[in-house]
Amino acid sequence: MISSVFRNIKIAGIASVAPVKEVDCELYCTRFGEKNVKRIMKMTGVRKIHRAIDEQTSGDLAYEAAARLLRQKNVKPDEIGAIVFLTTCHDYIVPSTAGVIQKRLGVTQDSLVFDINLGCSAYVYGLETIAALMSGSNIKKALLLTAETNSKLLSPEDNSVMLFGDAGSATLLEKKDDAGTMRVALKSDGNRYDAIYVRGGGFRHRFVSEERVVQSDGVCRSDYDLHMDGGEVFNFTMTDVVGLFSEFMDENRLSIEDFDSLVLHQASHFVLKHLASSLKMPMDKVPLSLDEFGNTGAATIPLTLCKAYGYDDSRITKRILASGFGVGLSWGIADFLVSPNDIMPIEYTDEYYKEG
Amino acid sequence: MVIMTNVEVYTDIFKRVFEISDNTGKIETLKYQEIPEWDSVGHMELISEIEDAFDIEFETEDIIEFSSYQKGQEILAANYGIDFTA
Repeated sequence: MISSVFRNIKIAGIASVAPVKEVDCELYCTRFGEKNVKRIMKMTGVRKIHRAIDEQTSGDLAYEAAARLLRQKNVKPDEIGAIVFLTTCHDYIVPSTAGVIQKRLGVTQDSLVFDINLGCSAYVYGLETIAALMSGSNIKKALLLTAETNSKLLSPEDNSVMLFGDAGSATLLEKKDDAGTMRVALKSDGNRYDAIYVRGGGFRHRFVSEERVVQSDGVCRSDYDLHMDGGEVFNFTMTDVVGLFSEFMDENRLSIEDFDSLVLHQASHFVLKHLASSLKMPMDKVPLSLDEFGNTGAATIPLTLCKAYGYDDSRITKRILASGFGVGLSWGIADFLVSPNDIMPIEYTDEYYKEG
Repeated sequence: MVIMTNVEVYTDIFKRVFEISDNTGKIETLKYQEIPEWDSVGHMELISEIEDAFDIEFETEDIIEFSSYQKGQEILAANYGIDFTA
């Protein structure tokens, strides 16, 4: 694994937003059958999701979260030295959506801004990337943004459409001598790149048929729709992710009792339950957001933190063990401190960039 | 009250989860992903039902190794003390 330790990077604030529209999973009974829908709801734990309107993009959700966070923390845009936006749903093929967000926030040219194409592992990869950038530079404050509009990536004939929701987040990182220690461990495996992918639309298969046909897994989709090999991803989660936890805890001589919460990428309740059990973490210390928001990809970890602590005004620092895993395939773990007082409650918006 | 044997309980779970009414021995040869119902969601449901029925909690490696009806029986017998001989 790739390991990093940072001793002067503080998580100074977290904000999350979701689209206003709620979609109850039971609405899909007509399309997928009541028995099938109830079975999926029971196993995954998803009851409803939030879905962006057509005009709203991941960039919009990330911007809204960032603008609210900067206002809440009384941070001026010219204090921000970096914006890193992680998503699989970029607003444009070119340029980085982070640049558009830079413009909208009013962040100056004395900054570096770029996107990273990652999904479910985005938050932990993003923490490492930004912390490393800050450590080696004169950047004092930076924004880690994650957002997805996965609902727009799925075939309406794929029953996963009721499991993937939309959301965005912003995390403010500051260079502080008394920040405490942040540890991150990352892994990736491009050999399984096609376990979760959208085949068409990039430059390998730029213009392919939009026709949806029944594929080998029985799902009717086109090459522009997300394809996930459920069995491969399930095995990966239960084997590789569990393995990384073991390696991380051993190398850093940590025990699960060191942590206040275990915040996992919101894949399914079944997976979370078994991951927590393998770590011997009681479920009451494993906050969930998938029941109300589904799998929000890159935004799951910060969204879950906002749901768990957004209304907690305590200044007592919590030690969080977080893990994101998915697209790439890529997976990672982060051990960090955050004060609930710095975590905002989830807000809802349909705002979008009309000039875009 | 009818008391079912462990084999009957185990087989009944497969029938319910995968909606199989056939009694021709098809269930005993079932393998993961051999039928559409036994996909990753079906697998989670199967594991959950077996955990509830036998009051156990599977280790993650056993969840992965559980690749067929037969293999599942072997795992339950070897690792969780479930007796299928009675």
